[in-house]
Order: sequence, then structure tokens, then C-alpha cells
Amino acid sequence: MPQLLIKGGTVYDPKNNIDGEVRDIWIQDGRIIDAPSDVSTKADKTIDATGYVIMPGGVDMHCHIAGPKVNTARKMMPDDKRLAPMVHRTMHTRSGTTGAVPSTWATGYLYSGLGYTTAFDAAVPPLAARHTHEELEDTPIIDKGFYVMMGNNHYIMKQLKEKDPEKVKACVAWLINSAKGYGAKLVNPGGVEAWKSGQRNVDTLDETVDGFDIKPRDIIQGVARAVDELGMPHPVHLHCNNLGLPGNHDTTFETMKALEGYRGHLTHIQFHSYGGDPDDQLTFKSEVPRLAQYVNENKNLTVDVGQVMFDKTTSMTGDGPLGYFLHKVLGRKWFSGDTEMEAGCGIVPIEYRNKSMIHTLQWAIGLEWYLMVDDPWRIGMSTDHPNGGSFMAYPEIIALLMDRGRRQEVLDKAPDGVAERCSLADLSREYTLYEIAIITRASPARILGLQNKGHLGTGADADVTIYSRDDDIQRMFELPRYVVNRGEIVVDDGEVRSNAEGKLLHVAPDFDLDMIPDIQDWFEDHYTIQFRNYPVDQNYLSNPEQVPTTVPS
Amino acid sequence: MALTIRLREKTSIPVEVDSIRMDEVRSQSVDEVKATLVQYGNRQLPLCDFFDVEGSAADDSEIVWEGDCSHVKLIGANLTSGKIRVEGNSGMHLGAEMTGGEIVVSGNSGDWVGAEMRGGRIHVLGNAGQLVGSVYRGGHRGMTGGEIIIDGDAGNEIGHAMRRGMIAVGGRSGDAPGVSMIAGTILLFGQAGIRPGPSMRRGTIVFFDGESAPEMIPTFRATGVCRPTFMRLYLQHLKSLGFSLPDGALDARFHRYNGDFLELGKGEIFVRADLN
Repeated sequence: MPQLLIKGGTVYDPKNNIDGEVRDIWIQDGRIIDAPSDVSTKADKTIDATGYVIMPGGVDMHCHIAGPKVNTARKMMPDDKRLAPMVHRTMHTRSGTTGAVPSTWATGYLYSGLGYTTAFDAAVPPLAARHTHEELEDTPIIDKGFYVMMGNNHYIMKQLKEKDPEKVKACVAWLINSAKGYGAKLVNPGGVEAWKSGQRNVDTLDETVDGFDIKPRDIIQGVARAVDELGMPHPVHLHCNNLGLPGNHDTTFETMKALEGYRGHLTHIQFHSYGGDPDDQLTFKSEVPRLAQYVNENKNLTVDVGQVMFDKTTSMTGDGPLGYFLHKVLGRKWFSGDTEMEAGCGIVPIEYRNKSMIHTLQWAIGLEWYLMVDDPWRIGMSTDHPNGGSFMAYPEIIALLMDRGRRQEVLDKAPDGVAERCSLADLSREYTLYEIAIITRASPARILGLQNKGHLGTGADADVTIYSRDDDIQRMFELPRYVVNRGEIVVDDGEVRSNAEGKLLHVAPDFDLDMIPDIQDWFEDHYTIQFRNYPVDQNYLSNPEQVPTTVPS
Repeated sequence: MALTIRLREKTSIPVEVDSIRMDEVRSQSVDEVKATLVQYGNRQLPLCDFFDVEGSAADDSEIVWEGDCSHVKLIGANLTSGKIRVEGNSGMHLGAEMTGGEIVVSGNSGDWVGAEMRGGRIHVLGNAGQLVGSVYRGGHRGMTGGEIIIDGDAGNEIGHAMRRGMIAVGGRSGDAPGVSMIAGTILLFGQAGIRPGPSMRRGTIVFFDGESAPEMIPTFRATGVCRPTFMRLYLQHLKSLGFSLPDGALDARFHRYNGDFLELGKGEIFVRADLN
């Protein structure tokens, strides 16, 4: 097979402790290989990367890019689509629409154009897995996968009530296997079901979910334990209760403690770090220092941020009551979905304005997280696309992290009250390129347990982004010179050159198959579809790669 | 002499001419205007494939469209200043999203006249289609400024989600005028369709033909009879633009209704009271 040589670039590969060293990178069969021992070997193709910055391809560990909720958001926002730039058909690529929620093909092209080569959809009800696979198949170039929602799953809650951890474990594994998903996701555990069945949302981890006689705390602990015992590469992916409400930091803190040492990834943590009185928006303030300190001290925890950026976007969540809350606050159109035994969904258009004290504070709280978690290996960059903003804003976030002055410029123009309600102005930390390479690729890959992603060592997937050095950091990260995916040049000077299909990453944890008849009995009493039609068959997957689970020692 | 763009023969497939922009044609030669690409179905073709072009908009900032342009869409879309005259009919989206200037149509116009317009004036001497001054589907704000005057009839959903500005219709009008209106003024002089102002928050809808005025929907409440001062100001302004007013309109009294109480309830509907 032909070899590709990326020659003489300045490499930032944090996993292999390479911090801005000039290196050659050899690629064959879609993987990074050792440099040939014979120094006279000539590669079939060489990119002269002298003076360029080389990083592994970006990894987005939390976004919403496929499945029914994403598609509904596309359909309910013709006003956004109409004004957004088109993606025009070229020799290599298909046409598409952009805006806050790009169409499937455009999503692949836009991620690639940004130097991202892997992305995970964060919230798929297992019943919608088949649809999600179909959309991911139409999302070109990038490698992808998704997390399976199970925080309000009736069967899991039933087993938790019966205090049967083996059955919980079996159900988690069975759901992941059925959906061909990558990770286990909890969305407002217990709260969505409570709201769907007429109870108000839950306010604390110790409020009982009607009809199930369990508490959010039980769901968090039970699923986190199951995920660890199944040896899944990614810990439980946790969207805490009370998202977006002033005063929710106590719930977040309790959630971290409730994990009791089990691994947990707290996602879009920005939205969960608010002080103040839930009934009075004006008391809103940052509580990042307290939470970040706890994360710093407890190595079982990782986070991604869910940065808010000032723009029009669409809020899209499996947290049904949150969608309703936003609709009431914003008065904008609203979609609510109820996935029978499994989940909820809310979609509401939203615009974050720099004239709003609340929105500016949300922006600042996101940045506080990046700057207050000491170990960049335990934090991942995200906007919770499209909730806090589009993934297209990542270069701007990078520029904000690397330049304190730029943050200060925004703070100088911020509405009254922002500066004293957060500590952003006091944070002098500035990220280095090495640290940026960690939070945008190396740490998300590590948190996801992807051995072959996020680095450029021998055997790694040949996903490489080549940036032109630029004093304007935002521009540098907006327009990579080349993007290489699986050893193929997919973007050349801003032009997408490929329509290849990326890999579908999933896991298949082992579990006790004797548990299936019990699941089937229950399933057939409750679901609207036949049991045998529920799992997504292996043959249905396009270009899959099964990532191994590890049996913990 | 104005820039004149004359349609040679009516096309069955619509031609979209939003690429002909006043800001650009002012400084362009006739040949440059002729070469401007317009959308014809799914193809882009030069303007001169369909139109004869002569004159210039350089001196008086005026464009004249001639011929039966009822399948020519987006005339004057995004207009910022200057004057456009359509000698004949115009197609859909006339003056859509315009922010200033003036458009006068001697004949009829299609749907979406002045959709999401921000300012300026549109005067259609004939009839207009549906959704005059409306929001485009999915959006949350229609017309936010300016004036639309239709001497003839207009269709359904006049001023859908309009936020500011004035729409006046001399002839008959369709159903649900002012649906989801946020604010602004809609003046209807002829026979009107059913269900005025559903889910309007604020704003004013006036029916000058009191006898044929529609029944109010149940979420509106009658609040008495009055002779509002502002009405005279609007009517005198319309009169100054050559709009013909019904007899006695300047001194008329009106039944007043408030609604929609499913929304904010600050909208008002007036129905002329002194005719019977």
C-alpha cells in the first residue's frame, strides 16, 4: 500500500510527550507507522510540512449531529437554514445546508474542514438507534459513534428498585449491544420520567421518582457501577439534574460525590455550575471554584465544558423538562418528544446575547472551567453543539484560552454585574499549543478510551491536522492547511477533497445472556414494537469498528 | 432616464431577479446589467436571455420593470434606497426584506409582498396575493417597518407576525389578518375574511367596512365604542398618498375589541360603528 510522509512539521502530540518538536510522520494503510529503518526509503507521497504545526485529528466527545432530535431541529428551523450559507456541490462533495444544525453531509465536511476527524453524538434513545446509524452513514469523512440514553429507562429503573445490580448490568450491556452504541448516557436521571408522568421535575438527588420508588442517586450509582464492571472504555456520561437553573451547583456537587469513586464523565459542566436562587434569575452567579476544586481532587471524574458563545443557535436535549423550561423563558417555538419507555426530548431555538448579563456569565463560567481544572487531561473542549454554540466556534474558544487580553476585551464590554459574579478576570492562565492539543484531541480520546485516536504514535489511526502558523490563533485553527483522515488527504487548503465514509465506533460489552428472557418478557408487555425488531443488527452497520472493553483487574 | 428592464415574453418557469440590486446597477453599464446571472428554475442564466435592458439608474436611482412579470420573483428584494416601478404585474416576494426606498406596481402582485420588510414603501395599484408583509415560515418576526399599500384586494394572513409598520388594503381581504401579530397597524377597507388577529400580542387591526366585518374570535373581548385620534392621522397620511377613503371615514366611530387573551391580550381590533 502507498506510503504518505508528512515531513518536517512541528509536532504537538501530548500522549507521546512531544511538545513542538520537528518530526517526520509516516503513514500506511490508514495508520501511523514507524519511520523506515532504511533512510533512503522514499514515500509514495510527501507533504512538506516544514514550518507547519502538526496535531492529531480533533476529537469531539459531545455533540448532537444525528438522530431524530437533530433531524427535527433541522426541520423546525427553516428560518435559520434560509439565511445560513449553503454548501454547494463539488466534484467530490454533495450539497447541504448549514446554520446551527447542518445537514448530515455538510456536518461531515464542516468538521473535517476544521481539522476534526472524530465526533460522538451524545444522546440517542435506543429506540432511535437505527435512524441514528442511517444518518451517521450519511455523515461523511469523520469517524463517529453515539451514547445511549438510559437515565430514565423503565426497565433499568425497575431493576434498580429491586436492587438487582446484575440485572442492571445486563440491561445496560443489552441496550448498548442492541443500539450498537459507544457509551452509556444519563440525562437528568429520573427527572425526565418524573416530568413525563405528570410529577414536576426532580429538584434533588433524593427526591423519589413516582411509580418507580427510586431516586436519581440510585440511577447514577447503579449505572456508573454497571459501566465500570462491564469494562466499558468510556465512563458513564452524565448530564446532571437541574441543568441551567440558578443554584444547581449543589446538585452537581452531590452528583460528583454520589459516584462514590466510580468513574464518571460530567458533561457540559458549564450549565451545571450556577449559584443563586432558582426563583430569581438576578441572583445568578458562578460556582465554578468549588466544583473545579472537587474535580481536581477526585481522579475518577472528568468533564467537558459546553461553552456558550454569542450567536443564534438551537437548544436540543434529551432533557424534556428543560426544553419546556426554555420555551417558557424564551417564548420561542418548542418541540417535545416522548420516547415511550426510554427518554424525552426538547428542542427550542435560542440566541445568546453579549448584552445579557446571564448569557455573558454563562460564557465566563465556561471559560472558568477550562482555566480552573489543573490537569488538561481531565477536561475536553465542547460547546455541546449546538446547545451552547456551533462546533464551528472551537477556533474562537481556542483563541480565548490562549489570549487573556481577548477574554478581558469581552469582559470590559460585559453588562454590569458579570465581573463580580465570576472569577474570570482574575484568571491569568493562558493555554499553550500543547495544552490545546490535549483538550481538543488527546484528552477526549483518552476519556473515551480510544487507544488509536488523539495521538500520532505508531499504530494510531492516521488522523492528522496540519495548521499554518498564524499570529491570529482563531484564523489558524479555522483553516487548517491539510487534514488527513485514515491516511487520506481529505481537506487541502480549505477544499474538501473526499466523500469517503468514516468508521462507526461502537462497543459490545459481554453480559449474562440468561438475563435476556426476563428483558424480553417485560419488553413485550410494554413496548410498541416487536422484541426481535428492536436491536440493530450487525449487518445494518456501515463500516463498523468494535472498540474492545477491558475487564477491570 | 431610468434603467428599463423589459420582459420579452412571459416564462412558465419563474425567474428570480434578486441579483439585480439597486446598489450595484447604479454604477453598472447596460452590458453589465445584461450579463448579471438570474435564477431560471435550477439554472443560472444572464438577464438578457429574458429581458431587454436600456437606460441607467445612475442619475435618478430608478429601475422600471416592464411586461407581464407575474412569474418574475423577488423584484426589489433587499432594496435599500431609490425607486422601482413595475409597469404591469409582479411575481412573488416583491420587495421582500427591503430596508428603504419605494416600489410602485401598476398591476397585480403575487404572494409575499414585502415579506419581512424593514422599511420603505410598497404601493400596489392592483391586487396582491397571500401573506402581505408576513414572516417567512419558521421565523418569528414579519414586517418590522415601512408601509405597504394595496389599492385592490389581498389574500390571507396579512401581516403575519408583523412587528411594526403599516399595511392598508383598499379592496377585499382574506382570512386571519394579523395572525400572531407582535405590533403594527393593519387597515382593511373592503370586505374581509374570517378570524382576525388570532394570537396577536399587540398591534391594531381596523375594519372600515363595518357591515361585512368578521365575527371576533372567542378570545377577544369587546371594550366599548370610541373615536380614536390616531385614526385620523393614519387616514390623512393615506389620503396624501392618493389612497381613496370611504365617505365619513375621518370622523367615524369604532367598536373596540381587545385580545388575543391567549397571548398578551394587548392587541386591539376596531370595527367601524357609525354606518347603520
